Amino acid sequence: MSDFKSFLEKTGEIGRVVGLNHYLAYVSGLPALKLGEMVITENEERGLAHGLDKEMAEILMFDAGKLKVGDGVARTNNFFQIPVSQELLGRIINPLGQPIDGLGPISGEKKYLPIQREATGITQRVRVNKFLETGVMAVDLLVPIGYGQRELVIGDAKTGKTTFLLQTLANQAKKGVICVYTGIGKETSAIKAVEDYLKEMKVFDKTVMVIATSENPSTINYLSPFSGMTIAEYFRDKGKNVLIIFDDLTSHAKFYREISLLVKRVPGRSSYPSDIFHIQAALLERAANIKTPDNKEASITALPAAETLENDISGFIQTNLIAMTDGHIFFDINNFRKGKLPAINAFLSVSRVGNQTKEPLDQDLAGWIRRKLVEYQRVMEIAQFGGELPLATQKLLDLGKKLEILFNQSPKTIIPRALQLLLFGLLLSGFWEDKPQNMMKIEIDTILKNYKEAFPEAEKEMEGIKNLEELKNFAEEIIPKVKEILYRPL
Amino acid sequence: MEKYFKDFAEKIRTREELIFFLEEIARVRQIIFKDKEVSLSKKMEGKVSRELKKFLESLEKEGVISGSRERQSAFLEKLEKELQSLPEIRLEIAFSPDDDSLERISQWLEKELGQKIILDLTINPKVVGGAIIEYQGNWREFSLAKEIDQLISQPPHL
Repeated sequence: MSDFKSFLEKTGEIGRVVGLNHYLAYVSGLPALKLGEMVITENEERGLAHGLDKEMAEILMFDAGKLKVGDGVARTNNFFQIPVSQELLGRIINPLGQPIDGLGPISGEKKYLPIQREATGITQRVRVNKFLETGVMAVDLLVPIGYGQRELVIGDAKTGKTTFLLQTLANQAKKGVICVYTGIGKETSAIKAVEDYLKEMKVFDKTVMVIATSENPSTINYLSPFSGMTIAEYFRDKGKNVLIIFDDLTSHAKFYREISLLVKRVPGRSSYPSDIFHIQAALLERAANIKTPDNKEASITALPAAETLENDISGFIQTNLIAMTDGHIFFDINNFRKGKLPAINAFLSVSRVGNQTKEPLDQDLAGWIRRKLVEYQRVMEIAQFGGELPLATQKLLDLGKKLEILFNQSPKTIIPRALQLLLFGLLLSGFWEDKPQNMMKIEIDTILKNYKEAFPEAEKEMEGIKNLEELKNFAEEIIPKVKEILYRPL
Repeated sequence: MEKYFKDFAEKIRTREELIFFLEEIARVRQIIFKDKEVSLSKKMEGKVSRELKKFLESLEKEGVISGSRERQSAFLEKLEKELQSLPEIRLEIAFSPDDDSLERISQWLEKELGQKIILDLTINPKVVGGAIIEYQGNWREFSLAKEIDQLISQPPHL
C-alpha cells in the first residue's frame, strides 16, 4: 500500500489542491490539519502546512511543478520529521534527510525527529566553560569561542568566511567533535569545494553535510538549517560535542522572504516578514552547552555565517543575527584587499562568552596583543605623514608588522594553542627583533612544518606556564632548539 | 425567495448537472439586457434548457422576477451564488449509475445528512463494490475491494 493511502486510512482526512503558485499549494479539506504538520500527496510528494485559513491551508511543497489542481493530499499527523542515525557521518544529504552523494541509501537503524523543536530550557543549560580551538590564531587569541557558544561569522562575499569555518571544522573534527555543515543556497561547485577540503583534511567521515543548493526550491533551502540543527541535537543527545555551521543565514532569510511574499504575508523592513527574527533566533537558541541526564556536559556550538555588502554590518538581517548570537567575527574586505589572511578585523569582532573559557595566560597575551595593535594603528596614522620617527615608534611599527605576519595564516594551516603560544613567546623574547620581515615569514613556515617533531611535548610544557613572563622565559630556553630546526643543513 | 432557490436546487443531483445549469444561468444573464420590449421567456426560446426555461417562466408569471431587468439579473446572480454554495460529496463507485440509482443515492444522502447535497461521482472499477466517500475533508472507505484485501491478508484459520 502506498504511503498516501495508509496515511489516508489512518487519519481519515483528505484535502484537494485548489490552487498552485510555484511551490505553494492551496488545499481545501483536511479539517484537523495543524501548523507545521507534514502532508503527503497522492504522488507521494511531501509538503509542510505553513498557514491555515478557515477555508483552506497553505502547503509548502518540496517538489515544485509535479502537483496538479484536484490532486488529493493526506495528513500524516506528524510534524515535519527527518530520519537521523549514526550512519549520517560521512554522508551528504538534502534537508529532507535523503542522501544526495550517490552512495546509495543510508543503512542502519534510523530515528525520526521533528525539525522544529523547542530549545533546551534554562534549567538544563550550563555556562560556556570550555575553550573551542579553531586553529586560526587571530580568533583563538583575540576572539575566543567556547563550546556551546553561538558566534556569528560576518563579512563580504569571498573574504574567507567559509575557509575559516572549514578550518575550524577540520580542527574540531580531528579532536573528536561531530561536525554538521549546513549549506544554504550554495552553488554545486562551492559544495564540491567544501567536500574536497574536508576529504583532503581527512575529516569527511566525522562530518554530516546537509545541503540545499541554489537549484533547489526555496522551501528546501528554508528547511536546511532546521534539519542540520536536528541532526546536531541527535548527536548532542548522545553526549557528544557538536559543531554546526550555517553557511549562510542571510541567504536563509532571503529564501524565507521569498516564501513569505509568495504566501502574501505583510512585508516589513526590506520586505522581510515580521517573524524573521523569531524564526532565526529560535533556531540559534537550540545551540547551547547543556547538562546531560548522566550529569555530564554536551554542547552544540553554532557558527552561522552572514554576508555583508561593502562592510556594512548595519543591515536588517545582519543586525538581527548580531543580536541573537554571543558575538561575531568580522571579516573585513579592506583587510582582505591589503592581503591580510584571514581578513579578520579584531577591533570590530567580539566574543561575549568566549573569554571566560580562556586560561589567565591567554587572557594576558590577548590583552598585550590588543594593546600593541591599538598602539600600532595609532602610530601608523602618524607615520603616513613621513618624516623621521623616534626609535621607539619605529620599534612599535616593526612589532605591529610582525604581529600581522604572525596572524597571517594559509587556509590549510591549523595552528594548535601550544604552537600559537610558542610563536608569541618567541616574539616576546625578541627572537625576531632585528630580522627582516621576509626572513620572519620563512622562519614561521619552517617552525610550522617541523613543530611536531621538534617539540613533541609542547602542549604539556605549555600547561605549566601561568603568565607572560614565564612564557617569555620558556621561549628563551627553547631558542637553541628553534635555531636547530631553522638552520639545519638541508 | 429562499423557497424558489430550494425548488430549483432540488432538480440538481450531480456536479455535472450543477455545472450545466450554472452555464445556462450565465447565458440567461447575458441575454436579459438585449431587447427591452421582449419578455424574458421569449428571449430564452431555443437558448436554454427546458427545465430552466420552465422555472424562470413560472417565476415571471408569479411576478417574482417580472418588471425590471435589473431585478431579473439580481435574482439570477443570487441563484448562481446559492447553487455554488451547495455542499458536495465525492463518491468513488465501481459502476456508472442509471438515472434511477442516481435519484435513490441522492435522496438517501439528503435524508442522512439533512440537507441538499451535490454528488461528485468518480467511476473506478477497482472499488469492486461499495463506495469511497469524501465529504468536507473527511475520507472513509467502504469498498468491497478493501474487504477482499483484508480477507486475503488475514492468515487462514486452520
